[in-house]
Order: sequence, then C-alpha cells, then structure tokens
Amino acid sequence: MIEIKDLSLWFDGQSLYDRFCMQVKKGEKVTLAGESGTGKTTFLHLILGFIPIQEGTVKIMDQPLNADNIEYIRSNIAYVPQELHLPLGTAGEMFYMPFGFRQNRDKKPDRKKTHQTLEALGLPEHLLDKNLDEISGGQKQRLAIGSALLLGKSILILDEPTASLDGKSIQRVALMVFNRKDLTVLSTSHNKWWIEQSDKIFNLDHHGTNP
Amino acid sequence: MEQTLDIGYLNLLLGYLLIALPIIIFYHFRTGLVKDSLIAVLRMTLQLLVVGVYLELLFEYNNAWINSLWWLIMVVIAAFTIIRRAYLSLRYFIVPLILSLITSLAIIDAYFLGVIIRLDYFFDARYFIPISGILLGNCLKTNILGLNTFYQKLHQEKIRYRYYLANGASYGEARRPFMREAIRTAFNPLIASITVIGLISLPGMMTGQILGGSSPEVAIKYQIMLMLTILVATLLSVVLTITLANFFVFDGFGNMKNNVLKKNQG
Repeated sequence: MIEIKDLSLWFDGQSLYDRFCMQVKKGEKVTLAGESGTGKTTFLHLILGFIPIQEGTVKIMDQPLNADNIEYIRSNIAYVPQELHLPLGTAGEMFYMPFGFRQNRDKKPDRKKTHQTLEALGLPEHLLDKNLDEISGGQKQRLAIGSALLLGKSILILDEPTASLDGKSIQRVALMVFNRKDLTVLSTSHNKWWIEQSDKIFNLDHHGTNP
Repeated sequence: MEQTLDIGYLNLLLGYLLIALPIIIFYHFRTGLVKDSLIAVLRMTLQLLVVGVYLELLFEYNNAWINSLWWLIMVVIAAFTIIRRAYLSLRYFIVPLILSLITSLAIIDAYFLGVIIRLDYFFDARYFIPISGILLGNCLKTNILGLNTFYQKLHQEKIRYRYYLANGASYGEARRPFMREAIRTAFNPLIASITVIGLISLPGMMTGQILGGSSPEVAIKYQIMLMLTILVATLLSVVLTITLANFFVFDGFGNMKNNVLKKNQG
C-alpha cells in the first residue's frame, strides 16, 4: 500500500531522515513515534505530496508519488491534521464539509450512519448543532476522525489523533480505527497505549531507523 | 457653459498650509508618518504637475495611438503598484495582472464609451482617459486587497488548504473558500461606498462635472454608470488575475511555491 525506499530529507541544512525505508501492507496500522521535532508531521505531509521528495522513492497504491499521480493518490486518502481551524459556523458544517467535495458527494452518510459513528466516538448527536467555538479541541478532533472514516477511503492518515483526547476517548477512537481490517492507517502519536495497538512502529528519533 | 473658477498659484500655496495640522498630529503621537506623508504630498504634487502637462498635450493632439499608449502606461504602472503593495512576487504576477487589467478595462471601456455614451470618436481623450483612469484606480484598490487576502490566507492557513486537498477536494474546490474570502475583503468597502453614495459622500467625478458646469442630472447619470462599471471592471480584474496567476503560482502537487509572497513585510 505504501512503499518507501531510501528516503532522505534535509531541512534547514539538517538531516531529518537518512535513507529511510518503510513498507506498509493493505490493512496494516502503522504508527510513527519519536520526540517532537523529529519530523513525524513532515513525513505525513511528504506522503500527501505537500513536501517535495529530495531523495529516494515513495509509492502509494503502487503509484510513484509524483505530480501525475497525486490526484489519484489523494483520492484514496482521508487525512486529519493535529489541529484544524475551519471558518465554519456549526460542528455539523465541519462534520459534513468533506462530503461537499464532488468526489465525496455520494458518500454523504444518512442520519443513522452519522448517529452510529458519533455514538461510537462518544459524541452526542446534538453536538452537530453547536457552534464550533463552543466545542472542545478533543470533540473537534473526534468529529474530524469520524468524518474521515465515513469517507470510506483506503488509507487513513492521522496526525497526533491522541493529542487532545483523554484515555477513554483514545480507546474509543482506537477501537473504531484499528478494527477496520481493510483500512490502512498511518498515524503519528506520543501515546504509549496507541503505539502498542499498532501493527508496526517506526521511530524517527534517529533519522528514521526501525526500533 | 459656466467656467470653473481657477485657483491662483498663491492660493494653491495657501492650501498647502492645511497639511501642517496632520504633520503636527503625526509628530505628537510619534507615528513615524511625518516623513512618509511629506514625501507623499511632494510626490502627488510632482506627479500631478507632470500629468497636467501631459494631459494638456493629450487633449490637444487627441490621437488614438497616443491616447492608447497613455492607457497602456497607466495599466503597467497600476500592475507594478498592485504587486508591490500586495507583497507579491513580480515574476509570477506581472503578466497575469497586465493581461487581466487590459482585458477587463478594454471590455468595460468598450461598453461604457461605445455602447452607453456612444462616442463618435471612441478614443476621445476627454472621455477615454479620465474614465479609464477612474476604473483603473478602483481596480488597483480591489486587486491589492483581493490578491493580498487570497495568497496570504493560503500561506497562513496552509493546514486548512491541505485538509481540503487531502480529503478529496479538487484544486478549484480547495481554493474556492479562499477566493470567497478574498472577494469579500476586496468588495465590502466598494459595496459599502456604493450603498451610501450621495448620502454621505459626493463622488469626485460627479463633483468635478458639476464644478465644470454640467447639470447635476447629467453628472448623476455619469456617476451611476461609473459605479456600475467600476463594480464590474474591478470584480472581473480580481477574478481574472487570480485565475491566470494560479497557473504559475502552484506546483504540480497544488502547493503554493515558496517565493510567491515577499518575505520582508512590514
């Protein structure tokens, strides 16, 4: 699903990854660990085509990551950043926003599906009527994860999904994300419990060497 | 037609005494604007004196080629000013801006002068130059606001833009919210001024026409047409500039290139 060979990246003259290799099979749950500043988020941005590859090769769904394939690659991915500020009114607008894109219109969930997803994430349905500035960072994050899951993509990329969540919420999200057999998940996290649930862990502390 | 009363040069100098007041206030509050405002007044004076001489010649010859050349010079100066004031890279924006200003101005000039006023001589300097100048002046303001908002927001709110792209938005869909915000920022002041025109402000052209001896009725008709054409020309130029510039400003992955915005913003 994701194949990375000899990836090297320099940032401000400093080496971030040195000939880093990674192979992620379909359905695998992979977590990137490491201290802050080791380039975990940068790595996700690189996979999403937001940062250019300096050296090495990246293949996603058997397609080399380049300008010709980027639209196809992104069309198979759902992504939730660590912090998200959208200039929207309600939590509902935020939740349904990705389904407004042409590519996702046919995936807009009905009320039942929305209710089930929110319930599984420990969120009440009336939360959708609340103003975005009235809900917490953790609720926002869970809403974005729920929405990303409902997009039904093959790969889910989560940047620090546990950052604003308490222990119970982390377990709820993990249950939803890790139990989907066909879904390939690439996440970054500092949370020990989340890391332990993963099939593979890559530590970026020492320029991307496997633990 | 009644002639407008001339202002004697001595009286004009008396007028300059007025700027003593802003200078004192700027100085009192240590705004750092004393030098800038003095330079601005000096530049305005010199520019208008030069333009005055040039316009006298333009009106005397009233030649289509010379008038068009002046029109083109105004467009190029406006394009450079917009780029500088919106803190954008000359390299990516100069061609799209010149093309979009020429296109929007040509269309609206043709409609205003050719269809509405029905001039016998389209390039008549008395109409062609001042009307194009007013349209261009407004394009300048809205383009600075619109372009600055669009590209600054894309830069500052990268996470939001990337979130759209990485969740299935096409390039157009991902940039649409930023375009909406740019248009709102650029056109709110113009729409507000159209709303209150005549109530709390008498526009310059209308005042000029009345001072020049036109009847208020004629001046009002011109002003109505002018406000409508300003709205259309400015909107057309902002949307066209951003649309054209986006071909150069983004890489093949939809990311805004690093050197699009000038770094040394004050």
